[in-house]
Amino acid sequence: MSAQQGLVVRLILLERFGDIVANVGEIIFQNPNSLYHIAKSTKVPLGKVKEALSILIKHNLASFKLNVDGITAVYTLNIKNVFLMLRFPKFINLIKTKFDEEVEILVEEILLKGCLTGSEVILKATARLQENKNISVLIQQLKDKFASLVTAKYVIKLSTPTMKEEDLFALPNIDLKKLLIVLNGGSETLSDAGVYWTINFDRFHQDLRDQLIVNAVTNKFDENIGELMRILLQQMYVRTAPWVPSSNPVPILEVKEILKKRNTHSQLITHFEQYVNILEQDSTGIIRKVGEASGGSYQIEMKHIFNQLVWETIEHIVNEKFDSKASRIFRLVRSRHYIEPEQIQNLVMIPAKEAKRILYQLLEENFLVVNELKRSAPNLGPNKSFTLFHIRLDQIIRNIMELCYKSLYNIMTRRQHEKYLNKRLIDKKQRVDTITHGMRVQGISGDPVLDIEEMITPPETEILNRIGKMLQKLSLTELQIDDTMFSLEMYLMYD
Amino acid sequence: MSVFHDEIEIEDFEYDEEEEMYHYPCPCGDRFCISKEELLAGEEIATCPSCSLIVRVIYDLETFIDEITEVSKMSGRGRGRGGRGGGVSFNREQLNAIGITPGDNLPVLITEPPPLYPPLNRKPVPLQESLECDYLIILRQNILDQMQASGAYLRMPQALEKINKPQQEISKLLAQLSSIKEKFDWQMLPAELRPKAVARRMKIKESKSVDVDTRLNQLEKQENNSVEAMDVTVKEEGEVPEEEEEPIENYEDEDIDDGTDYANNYFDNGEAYEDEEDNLDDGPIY
Repeated sequence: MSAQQGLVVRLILLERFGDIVANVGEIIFQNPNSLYHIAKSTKVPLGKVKEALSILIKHNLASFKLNVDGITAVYTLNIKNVFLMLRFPKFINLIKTKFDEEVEILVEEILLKGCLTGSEVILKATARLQENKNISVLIQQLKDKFASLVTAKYVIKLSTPTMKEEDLFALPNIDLKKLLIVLNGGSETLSDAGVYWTINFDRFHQDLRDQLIVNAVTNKFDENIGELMRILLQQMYVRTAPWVPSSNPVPILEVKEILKKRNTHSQLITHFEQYVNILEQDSTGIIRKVGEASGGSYQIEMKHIFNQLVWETIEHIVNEKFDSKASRIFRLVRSRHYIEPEQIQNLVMIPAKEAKRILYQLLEENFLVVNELKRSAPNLGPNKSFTLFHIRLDQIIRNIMELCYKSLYNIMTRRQHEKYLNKRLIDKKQRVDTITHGMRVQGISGDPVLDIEEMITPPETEILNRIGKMLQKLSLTELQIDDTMFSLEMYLMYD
Repeated sequence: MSVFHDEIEIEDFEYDEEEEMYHYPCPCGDRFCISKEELLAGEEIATCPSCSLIVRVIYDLETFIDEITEVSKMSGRGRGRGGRGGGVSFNREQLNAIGITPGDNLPVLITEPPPLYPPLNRKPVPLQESLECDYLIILRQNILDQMQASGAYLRMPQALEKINKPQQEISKLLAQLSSIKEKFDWQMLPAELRPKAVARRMKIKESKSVDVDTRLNQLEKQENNSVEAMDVTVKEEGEVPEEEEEPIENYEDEDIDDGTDYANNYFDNGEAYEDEEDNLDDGPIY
């Protein structure tokens, strides 16, 4: 929790919920607060503050602790969940690749609303998919798909204190007949009212983590090893809880059999042993052989993998920020753990003065730490203290997180500024779009539509294109910063 | 005096600032030591605490005193100025001692604040682009659009006089749409967050349900108790009507309230929220 983080939190809320919620969020980010205090410090009307808090709680962005009287409460912001909102597109994409479009819509609806009852989700999805389909069949399909989401644990019941652990993924009782009545405009109390479902972020993270590992292996070696890794991970879940630092041994024969059955990567099957060997003997130590029986069994070293990934990321950042000479020094300090400046100058073969400059630059940006050892024993010669440079990984990671927050803030501010500067043009474009869309729906085409479209002059279209491109680039940056933050978070979690 | 083990110049001694002592290693493994005060007093023999050896310190009393005062002056000045940016505080000899020769460019005094936008030394690498990324961007924009269109995107209620007539009409009509407001399950939120109308309705429900429970309990007791305990049940029955009366009263109140509430709420364009601000001190509604 830092000031920089607070700024980003505010901007994230502002973009999604508007000014009032952002102000309220900012106050409860600083300190857990009571309703009246929030109203006083935001200078927002009490009614709106109430609504804002309700929205935050509904979206699981704030939590509250009831006071003794059972009516008033103290509200806190769930900072983690606020940042997760940046990751929503990735969640939806993941679901789309794993399931199909209908499930994607189910998940999207829950993400947009924070939490929903099973029937509500299905109702909303039906409303969106309704066109040219038989409604009763569609509802049945959606219900089955929702059930599969629940069994795969992608959605979870909103936990209440009275709920038991095993109930969290119990299937809801959804009455389709009543749903149909509601769809046709009737009012009916739905059978599962009061049972709310929300997204199980843990499960999504687990999938994103696996994807990250497979991608990393694919990038380092090739497609075939990527496939091998994917199946290894898949087999890991048979025996191991998802978040342990190193998995239980996976017999490699099992993996081979699955590969043979699928028969997609012929090269991988013919050179199977060699591929496994490459993966095992690589210096990154992704898998570790633990037994020779039945062709060997391997452990997947999750914690180690993320350690490696994070080191890789940091070295990359140092390389980009300070250039290759600095990354050489950084790697040297890493391999020697503790090292004196003179030794560094000798070993990296960079002129002494430049080496010193880079070293102090790294120190200034907190990528290196200095440890001074005062010699206490009365040895011979003049009193000389050692200055040792070393790397404190945890500190660097938190430092980089901070850098990520900073760049996120910069990107968002820039985007807002860009939008503000060209507000008139963007609004105009939107208006023209709605008008032409309306005309097309009414069946008008040809000259009148063209006339309206020509209201935006060529230079204006040019500017609009430029802004569009820039905004896209900024959004892309935001998504990729989130990728970095994800791998760092994973490391911190295993730590 | 006795025989000196050696004669050593003061420059070869190590100085310990905390204890204000000068040290020099002794062959026995310990150190010869002599304090600053002793030196100032003209003493020139440093002793070793572990063995009997002694050494003679070679120094010039006057230059020694000069040096001591200069050092203390310098440190005093440094503290007074608060350290940074205080101009060049070393003379040439000292700079030479540190290893800076006059030929080197000394850092120039910087009098301006750091730039608001620090210069970008290196061009950033281009972003990775792929079809998947494009799809992610579209998804992201989609989510944002939907969130901004939903009832969860709160806007400040505009002051009444600022809104002209047609806009007022529009906002009235909008308020009637059910989708424009976020729906909440009030059971899951703290009671203080409920809007007034909802709070009242829920209060009634709660009091009703409590009543049923106690009534059932009493009936159960009545059944369990034998004829001997008739007196007690009679008493209890005496209490029951009292409890029943209250909710009935409440109920009538509620009917009237609801009626007026409805009229107020029907064309509610949100100004009512501001009225509540005056009641800040009243506390939550029970």
